[in-house]
Amino acid sequence: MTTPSTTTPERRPGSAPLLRVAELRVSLGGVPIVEDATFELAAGDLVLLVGPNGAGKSTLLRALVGLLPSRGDVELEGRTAAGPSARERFVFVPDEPALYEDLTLREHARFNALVYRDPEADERALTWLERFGLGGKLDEFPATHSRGMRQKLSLSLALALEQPLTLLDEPFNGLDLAAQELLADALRGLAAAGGAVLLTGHQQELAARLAPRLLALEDGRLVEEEGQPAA
Amino acid sequence: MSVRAAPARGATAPSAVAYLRRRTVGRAADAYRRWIGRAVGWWTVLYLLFWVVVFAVAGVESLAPLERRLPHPGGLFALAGLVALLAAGLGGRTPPVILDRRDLYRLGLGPQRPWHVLRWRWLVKQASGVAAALLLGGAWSLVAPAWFGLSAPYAAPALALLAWFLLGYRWLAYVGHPRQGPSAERRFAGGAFGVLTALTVMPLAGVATAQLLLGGASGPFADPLSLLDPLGGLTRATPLTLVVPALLALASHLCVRRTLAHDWPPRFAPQSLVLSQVQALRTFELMAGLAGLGGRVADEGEKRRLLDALHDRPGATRPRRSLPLPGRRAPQWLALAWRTASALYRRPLLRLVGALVAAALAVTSLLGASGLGPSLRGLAATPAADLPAAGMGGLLGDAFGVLLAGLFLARVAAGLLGPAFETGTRPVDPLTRAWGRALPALLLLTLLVAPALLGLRWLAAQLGAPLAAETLPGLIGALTLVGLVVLSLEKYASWSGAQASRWEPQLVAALLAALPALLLNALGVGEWTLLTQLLLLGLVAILPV
Repeated sequence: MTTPSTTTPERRPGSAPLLRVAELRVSLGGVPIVEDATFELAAGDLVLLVGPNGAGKSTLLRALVGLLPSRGDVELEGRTAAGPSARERFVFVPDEPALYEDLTLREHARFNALVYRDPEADERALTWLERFGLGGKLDEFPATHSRGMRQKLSLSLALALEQPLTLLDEPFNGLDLAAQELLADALRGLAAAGGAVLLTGHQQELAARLAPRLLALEDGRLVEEEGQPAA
Repeated sequence: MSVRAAPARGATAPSAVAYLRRRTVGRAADAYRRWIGRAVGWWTVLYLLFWVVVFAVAGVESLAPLERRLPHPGGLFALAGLVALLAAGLGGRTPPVILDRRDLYRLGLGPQRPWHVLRWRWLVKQASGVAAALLLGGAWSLVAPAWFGLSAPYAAPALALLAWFLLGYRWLAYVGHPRQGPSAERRFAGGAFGVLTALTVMPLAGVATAQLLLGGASGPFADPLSLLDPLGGLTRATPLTLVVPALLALASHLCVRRTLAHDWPPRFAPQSLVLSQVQALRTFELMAGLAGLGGRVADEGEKRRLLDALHDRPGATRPRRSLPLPGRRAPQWLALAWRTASALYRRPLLRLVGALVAAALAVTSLLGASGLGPSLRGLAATPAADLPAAGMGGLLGDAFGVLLAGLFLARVAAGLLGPAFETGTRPVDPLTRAWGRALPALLLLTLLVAPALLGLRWLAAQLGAPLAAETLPGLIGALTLVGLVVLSLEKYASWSGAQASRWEPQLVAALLAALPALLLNALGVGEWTLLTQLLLLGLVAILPV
């Protein structure tokens, strides 16, 4: 069952919207990619944005963080999401890891903590790297690693920040089964701890595994779908 | 696990950026140094540097004062300054300095002050501009006394300061551009841009007017004008000429820092993302060129699509224009010809027109080399019996002219062959590939023969010169050369794996086309040239490579 996104989704009692998106439009070269997307995310929300290839999932996520020009309102905790204060409150994981070839994994963790001025994020990132099985490679450059290992580093850095809003573009791509389970647990944990998580994907089994709220992009329009029961 | 509480407000420390640059810059420089050593070789670099120094010293020593000094260049300099300002202002749609993808994702989206993040890239860009300005200014300081009778010892620092200013000025034009949308930063940048424009344009326009229209720097306004002239350091020998450039550089720098104190310009992140991809393609091309892999290895279509995305033009998501698709049962050669023709047809209009003009010029030069142009020897009243035969004489003189025209044609044809097509494991035989890829170029160049011929006839009539060769043999000769150049270029490039845009395949194609004329002319049997060319064309056409 689907409902048009223009009706404001039902919010959990007592939870103020963390992210509010109203009539967001994104076009590329005059061609509309996303039209009038309206939705809200509250603390504790774990939302999967689904849609076929080319539906505009990554485009929507990039527009939310200001990497694509868009029209409409995007507010994070009541402030413009692209503004400087909002940048303290979210983390974005792109589909293709953005890593420095000249920094080791350990140095990435330290750098990440310094950027977000969270000294404990350094240790947390190292813990996540251990969990993802990269504990023995902390002093190596990511350039020599596989796509999946680079993705694990990228995810470890984001998870370590424990931001109120975490946006992930196709985070399960390239991960082995164990890492997929670990990530699913981590995202559920993040939401349970009061964070909001918005991720994209097109795997049906992913929806079943995470049992999240579903937003579907169909022909550039956003529709809300009912989540599937937890597996 | 618990999500992070809101951090205390306050100034962000640049420690993260400093940490990053401390670790990455040295390592990247070291990797670059090793790469230069492997790809180019340090002895080669030293050898080139040695010759640069030798040429520079020789150039300086050869400078001798002119007997008659050249006119005062102040007006021209002022005009050039105005043009530079205009270009900087018009370039305000894109940022002059960008972040690469990693910096954008890891720092640009993070809670860091924009100026801290951009500072390193800014300094690198500024250093290259300042270094170029110092070189230029230094060269001017050496030349000015000998040629113009001017002493300009402060030209180098003055130009360096102006290069510093110009980068900031371009940034202010970018942030203040109406496309950024309403914001306090945009209003500030727009205002600063306007003030700096007024402060620089007024004295420059005054100097240009005084020098170029009023015929000199004399008059009641000359001295105040020269004091305010930002380019005064190029024509005057006083350190006071550095005051205005220094003030401009300082003002623009402070304004730039102010626009990057809190937030990025709204269009910066999206544009930076696209421009960093374009830059990566260009760097890849440069490195491939240095490593001897050829110039245009990056996908031209991809670069064009990115630039369309940058300016939000329709070509970003779908082609500007399309040719009708070949039928479902069309032969392979037609599919390949369609692919090549589509790549040409989808070029931006200006580039399409440029390619047509270049093709017309190449064909004209080839016709001239084939004797279908006015004979220069005819102009010198040579008896008709002594006129050279087809394929050897004409506008360019002899067989060497055919070689030059063939080289020009090969250069143009390389752009008309479209993207390379690796047959590899595909069920396409080499003959089909070659004819399919070359067909659009052959058709276009053949169609251009008629207007080129008419143009040459008109030129001959205007000059009152006879044609160097009879029309029909000359025409057959020219068409044979077109076929030889295009087909041998395609075949050699595909066979060797070298890009058609490189000099090597082009030179081979031109040499092959000119070989009959060069050899037979040298052997004194020039009348066999046309027949040999035809035979060679037949051989190249059926050669299965």
